[in-house]
Amino acid sequence: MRSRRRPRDAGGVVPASSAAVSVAVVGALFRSGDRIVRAARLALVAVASLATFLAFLAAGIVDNAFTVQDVREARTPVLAQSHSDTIAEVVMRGPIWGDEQFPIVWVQPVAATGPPPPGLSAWPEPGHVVVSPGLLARREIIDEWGLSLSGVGSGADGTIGDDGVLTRSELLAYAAPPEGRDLGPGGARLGISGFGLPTGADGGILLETDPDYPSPLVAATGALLFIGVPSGALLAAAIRTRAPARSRRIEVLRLLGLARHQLQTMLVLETLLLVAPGIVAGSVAGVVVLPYLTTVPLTGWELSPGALAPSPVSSLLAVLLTLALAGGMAVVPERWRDSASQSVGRSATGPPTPLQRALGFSVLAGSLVTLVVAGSSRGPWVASTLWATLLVLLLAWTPLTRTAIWALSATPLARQPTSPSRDLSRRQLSHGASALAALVGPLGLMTLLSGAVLSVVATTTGHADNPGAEPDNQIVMVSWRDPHVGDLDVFSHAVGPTIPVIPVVEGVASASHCELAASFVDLPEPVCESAGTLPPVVRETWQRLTGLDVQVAMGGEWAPIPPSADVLVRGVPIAGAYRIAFDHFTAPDVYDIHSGTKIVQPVAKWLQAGVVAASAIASLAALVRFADLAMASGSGTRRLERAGVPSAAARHVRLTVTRTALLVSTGTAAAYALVFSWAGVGAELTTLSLATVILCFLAVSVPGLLLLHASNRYGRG
Amino acid sequence: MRASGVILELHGVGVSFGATSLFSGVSFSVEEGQSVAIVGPSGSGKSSLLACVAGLARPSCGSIVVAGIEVTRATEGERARVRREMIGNVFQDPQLLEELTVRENVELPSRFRGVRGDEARRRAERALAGVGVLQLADRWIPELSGGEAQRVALARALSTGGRLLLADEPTASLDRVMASQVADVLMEAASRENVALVIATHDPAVAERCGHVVDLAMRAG
Repeated sequence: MRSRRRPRDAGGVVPASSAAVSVAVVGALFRSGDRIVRAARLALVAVASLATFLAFLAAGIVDNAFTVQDVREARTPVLAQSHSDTIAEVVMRGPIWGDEQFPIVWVQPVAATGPPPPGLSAWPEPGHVVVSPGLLARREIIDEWGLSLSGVGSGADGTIGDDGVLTRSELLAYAAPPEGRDLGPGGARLGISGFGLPTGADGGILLETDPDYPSPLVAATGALLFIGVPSGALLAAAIRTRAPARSRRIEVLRLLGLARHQLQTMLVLETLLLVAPGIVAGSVAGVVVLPYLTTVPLTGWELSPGALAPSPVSSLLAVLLTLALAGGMAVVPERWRDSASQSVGRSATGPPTPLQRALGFSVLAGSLVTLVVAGSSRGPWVASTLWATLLVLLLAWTPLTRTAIWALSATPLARQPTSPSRDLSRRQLSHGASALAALVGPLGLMTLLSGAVLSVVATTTGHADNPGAEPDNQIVMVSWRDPHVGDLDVFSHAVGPTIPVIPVVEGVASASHCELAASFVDLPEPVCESAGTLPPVVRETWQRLTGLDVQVAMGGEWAPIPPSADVLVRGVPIAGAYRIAFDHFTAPDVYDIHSGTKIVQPVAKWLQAGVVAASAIASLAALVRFADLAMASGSGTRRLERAGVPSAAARHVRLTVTRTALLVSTGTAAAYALVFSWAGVGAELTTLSLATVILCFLAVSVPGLLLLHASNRYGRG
Repeated sequence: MRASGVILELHGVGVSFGATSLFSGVSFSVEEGQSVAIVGPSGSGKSSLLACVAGLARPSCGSIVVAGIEVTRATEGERARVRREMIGNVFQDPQLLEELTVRENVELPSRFRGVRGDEARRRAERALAGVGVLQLADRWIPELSGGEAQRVALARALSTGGRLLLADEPTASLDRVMASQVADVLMEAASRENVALVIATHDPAVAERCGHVVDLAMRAG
């Protein structure tokens, strides 16, 4: 069909559009019987599929952040401006379980008609607690604290419904004072006019829960950094496979008469046509799988079904973004004039120069010494020194790999004359160290980065050991609201006659007699001269151990009743104290007065997940690039065979050389990652985990070795 | 009967790299059916001259006219069109795409020009037959010998239907026997297709088979 737009050429033929040519060329490429070409195309489709699915996941995470923000706003208690506006009164408590802290909102409706919090069908019954699904799943907390669960939640099993929780895994509860009790007087008791406050507005009560879900801005930033950027790198690595062949093709097409803009158009169209099946597959996977994905590993999130399914608009944006990324990468950058081979296997730049060797050894040795010295020291400079050393190692890893490879070939043991194959392997390691480092360096880099970063993240998310089994000689402060006459007796009876209980009023502990005060701080009873008098040693010991003054108050009871009860008890685990307090009192708070419990920051959990995801995706990108370079250099045996080496020996030599180079790079990287994770323990920067480092090493090395075997067998050499 | 005409004209063409002049004042013309050998020692600018004729580079001075189009003043798009429609190129490295078969490589220029699949196939097979390698049509490029690859490259150059054939050291990487065979095929095909042939070579045996010789050494800057 004649086109009126394009004029006929000198031969009377209407020239084809770049699009038509692209389709024709892509069709030929898909039909290609060349095994490597087909493998590269399949890899590109698979990567495009994965990248698209990850784009959908990222979109879903961001979309859900908006939903979560709506819930967060809707459940925020709004401070009443006047008594007439008040529908309920609340007291906030943040009990600690191990190194986790979560809110319990003690509520007392003023009027029965006031709407309960979102996620509840009614206010909890006196003495009962409505828990989030995540808290219900933490059965050990429920049982240890003896919570009486209410069924007024609109969620499953009477838990707080989805409209009242950010995630099903968060820890949150609403509680009502026991029958006959209320929230007690004082500033901690707040009147609220309802629930629902826009983000950033004043006049609300912030509920911080764990595990937290990021705000939309943080979610978008995290999705971009931890998913978007590494996925882009992965897609780029796949698109850029067989770059020498692509460059050659571009040059040939240019010689045959395609203009630059036509070549660019053709590259974009070719890439888009090749990734299209992958994008379709990834989109289908996203649409089908994500609605059922309720758990995101390592984040601690348990989400409601469909939470991570992106909206149609977000899904479309994910597809368009992936397409745009693929198209952009197709043309950036291309070498239009120079089609010289970039094959690593063919580039023989010789061994590192003496200067390069000296620099390499200096950095390797210097970094190791720095890490060891920093790890053995204390001070504010340690953490920054460790980070700086890690940064130097990361930036210089490929040249350092070159030095390490050359060093291996230069060892006296390696220089011992043995078989011709081994001697030839040593020569290739030495002479080709630069090319080999370019091939395997990125894999070592990923091993080092993953191992080091995961050791840092583990520190921010590690949990304390069993929180319930504290030593039984700790001094615990137990507080509760609205104390009544006789509460001390109730508490003392509950803990048992052998457990000392001492009330605290206005910062002064009141022991009923001297012997009690003395024994409470492990002083022998003979230190007391009389029951009603405290010798200085008792007062001093109390001050030193508890930071409190102590007096003898006959009867040991409060007079007058304080707005909030504070009681010191020794020999009862925190969980046990909570259990007693929840059983009898309102809004209890229990803590070890000596404890400096490190609370894990909620955001760190999903940060850890992001770092792990980014490391995994980036490692995959490095492996894709590695596979491409390995296939391009192939077995590298042709030159050896031309030199007279038997075919089998040539393949053995080549495989030995590349395998050794790979293990040198990743093994050295793993060693440095281990030293780094050891060095940071004292500064509380890292957690030492040999298993983590080994896992990072294996996750990169094993696929790398398999790819080397494949390239040795199928690559062009 | 096809009328011969001037396909290529060079007027005072010179190429310099910075302060170094490779050659200057090169002027000649080539008609359809004629052949010109560009000779000179290595580094004298033979490849540079052919690149300028093909529109891949611009000379430092002078003008080049291909089939009535002054490529030295043309835009990049026009130069690409000239390459696509009027010129066939053969290089020392055959510049064949390994991911395509022999036939598909030869079809490529026709496909660019919008020729239908079956017609493009017919043209490709005709060109392959003309250089004596039709039996290799379904083979992959890595399976070819150097001489076979060069013949395929020649077939591709002829399949463009252009009236000017540029060959840059087409036999340089071949042994003497194969070089002679390729040279025979090249000259015979150019004559049969009545195309103008400009061949850069340092092989005296090839140069003396051409109707005209331009020695760049005598025009060195």
